[in-house]
Amino acid sequence: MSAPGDASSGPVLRAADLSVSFGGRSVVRGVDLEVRPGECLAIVGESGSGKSVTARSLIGLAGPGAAVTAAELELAGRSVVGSSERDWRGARGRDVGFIAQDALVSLDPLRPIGREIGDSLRLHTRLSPAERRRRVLDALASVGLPDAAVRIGQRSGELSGGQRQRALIASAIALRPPLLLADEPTTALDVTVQAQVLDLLTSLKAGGMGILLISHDLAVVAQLADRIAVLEDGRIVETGPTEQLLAEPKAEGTRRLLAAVPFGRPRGTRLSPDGPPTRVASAASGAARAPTRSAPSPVTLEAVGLVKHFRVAGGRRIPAVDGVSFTLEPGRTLGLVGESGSGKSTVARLALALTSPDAGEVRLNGQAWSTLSERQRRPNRSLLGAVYQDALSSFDPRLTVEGILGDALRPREPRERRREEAVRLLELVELSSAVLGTRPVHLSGGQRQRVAIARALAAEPRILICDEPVSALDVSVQATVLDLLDRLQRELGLAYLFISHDLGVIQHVSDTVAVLHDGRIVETGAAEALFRNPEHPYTRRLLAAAPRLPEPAG
Amino acid sequence: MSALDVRAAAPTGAVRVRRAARAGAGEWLALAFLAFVVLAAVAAGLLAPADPLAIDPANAFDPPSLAQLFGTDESGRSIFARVVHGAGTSLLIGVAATALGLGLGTALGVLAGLGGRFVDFGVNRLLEVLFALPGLLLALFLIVIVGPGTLTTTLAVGLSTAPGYARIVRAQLLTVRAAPYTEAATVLGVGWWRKLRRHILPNTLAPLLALGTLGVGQAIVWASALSYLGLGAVPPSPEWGAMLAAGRTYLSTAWWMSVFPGLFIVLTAVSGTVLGRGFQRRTRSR
Repeated sequence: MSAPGDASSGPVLRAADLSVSFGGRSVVRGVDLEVRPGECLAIVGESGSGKSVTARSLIGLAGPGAAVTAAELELAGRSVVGSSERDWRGARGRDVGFIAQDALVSLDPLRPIGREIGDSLRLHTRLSPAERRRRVLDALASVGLPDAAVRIGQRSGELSGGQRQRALIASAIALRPPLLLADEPTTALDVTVQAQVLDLLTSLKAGGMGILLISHDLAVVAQLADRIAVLEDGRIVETGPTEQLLAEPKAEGTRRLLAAVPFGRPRGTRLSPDGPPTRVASAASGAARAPTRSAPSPVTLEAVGLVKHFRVAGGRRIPAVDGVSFTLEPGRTLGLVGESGSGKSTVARLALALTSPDAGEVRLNGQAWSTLSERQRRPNRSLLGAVYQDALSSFDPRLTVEGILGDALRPREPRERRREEAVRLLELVELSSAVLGTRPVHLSGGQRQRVAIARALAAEPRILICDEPVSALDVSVQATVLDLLDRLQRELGLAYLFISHDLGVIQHVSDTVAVLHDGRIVETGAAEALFRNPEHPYTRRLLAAAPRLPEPAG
Repeated sequence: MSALDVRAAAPTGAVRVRRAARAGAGEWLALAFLAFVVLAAVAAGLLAPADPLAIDPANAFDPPSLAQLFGTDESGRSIFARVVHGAGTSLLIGVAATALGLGLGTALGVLAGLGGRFVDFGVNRLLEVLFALPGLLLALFLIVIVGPGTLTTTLAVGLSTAPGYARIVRAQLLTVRAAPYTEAATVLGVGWWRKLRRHILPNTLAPLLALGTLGVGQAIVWASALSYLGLGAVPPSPEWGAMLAAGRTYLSTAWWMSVFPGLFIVLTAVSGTVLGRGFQRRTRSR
């Protein structure tokens, strides 16, 4: 019965001994949470720690087959223990707003966003259409979406990623609920957009809204949260005020998450804890047996004035890559950083000669590469390996890990011999040979990416083209993959063309950095110098937007 | 390995995957019925020792009883024996027609998908012409030219389903050809032929298996329809569609003459569909 926005001074969310289980398997075990108005509590954890399920169970959306129990569960001062689906429908939107990770699929593509945002108003209030429209415009203005009157009639497909996320937030806050649940609200976004969304959430918090933020990335959380709860295996292992928790992490899990943040960590430092001794030993022996070619000849990849156009609807041609030149020295890492749409992936495809440039050329070891026919190129294909962002889709869905690696090895060799080789490759990427008979769908994201790296190494390449190899991974998993790539580079003398949108990752892995913006390289230089003293305004903007942990005091 | 699986999938996902993999009661029933039909097709004498063609005018129009499970027809022939012995013909037509349709469709689809722009253009126009005519009409047209019979029915049903399969194969082939894993094979230096053999064709054709299971049921219904119209199997031979037609005249007095063959047509088609769908769901959830 209380008017919207009537947040009393009590906590807007209180949960005691919250547990969730799926068919007898418990996923969340006895979690206590409290969020006060104008406060942000962040739940941080690795994938599988139960953080998303926790958030969803707070709004009665834990999913079919979930058994949710709690000693106490209060939203906006009302107990929701034992609520029916009907009660939940009343509470959602009014007492709590929810922002899901993927704005692309969270908005109905066929409805104008004005209607999407107006839904909660239509369902929970008796406002007139004109009044509703005014409130929708208000909501859009408060999330900083310009031209709200135009946007209101557009569909989600007509908006950019950042605009879409803003529209989604607008729909969550249209009724001014006292609590906002944000599940990885910036994970799919570019850094500059991410910074804008975090700013927006900060201003909502200042306006008195309580926010429960779910994330795997401590650096993102540090910008917004007042308190942090670290979730591991469904239990809160540590909780405390943000500064204190970041400065003096007590739990092992917190320390691991902190160490995994790559930003500001010098090249070559480990981001993940050392593996168990057995694993290190096996990896070392694998490396010892790694057949290094008799003094492998250094291989250089060179791009000269690459241009690639794409045809868009209406026959217009727009340049995706516009005059890009770079040299990848043997054994070094060239980091290519840019936001979505900057042409990064096209550069990767050009380097791999999967598409031919409209102008300019790619040269391998001073010899023609992009101008050759595929048949001429094939003998030298083994010099170049590739690791993709979505490892899963890069594997033939019918094949097991053994089949995938076997294909990458010389297929004419006998089966047992290939199996031995496959085991050796798995050792190289620190995977047990037990995964040989598994299909990649049953592997975790990190394991998949390791299999992808193993496959890329099968032909003993000198260069790896890594296109966003870690951006689909949690920060802690990302840390282990980055450490692996670093070790492989040192042991095998590989050169990396490392493409990423994440400045922190680029800074950590690169010797040289090139900043790509609208298909052009706007700045290039030695990594350290470029990050210390960025010259181009775009680089500065990127750098300012990158989330980072606060400098430890003292 | 199971501990690993659990870790990989989100909790809700894990539950869903397991649900998809488990066969439901419907699928078991469908499987049992099809097993019966297949057994009838290969060893009819074992299930129904009576001669399906033996005339016994004294016992004409007997209703279903313990002695005559499905009753007898106007000449006193056992409907049960005829239904059982007819399974072979129906199943053969269904499987052969589907195989023909799938084979032809696959050939056309692969040709269009790999043959380059001009071949693709030509095949597509041909398919559009075939699509413009309803499938059954195409089958009738063929029978008018060649004359009725089991072989003609098979050919007619097979040919008229081919364009649909061809479309699906072509679309699937184009998708697989541009799939990231095909590209990954290129990057590894895998040659064109090996890519085709190892990745493109298997991934194009695997979904067809499920489609084929669906198709057999459909083909049996079509073939029965043609026989019902007197254009398929010729009368004394025990074919479900023909039996349905023969019973039509006596529907008010001897319902069992039409109902049992009809029931077998429907149940076979439904069972094929249930299994095909389950198959499809399983290959997709992988």
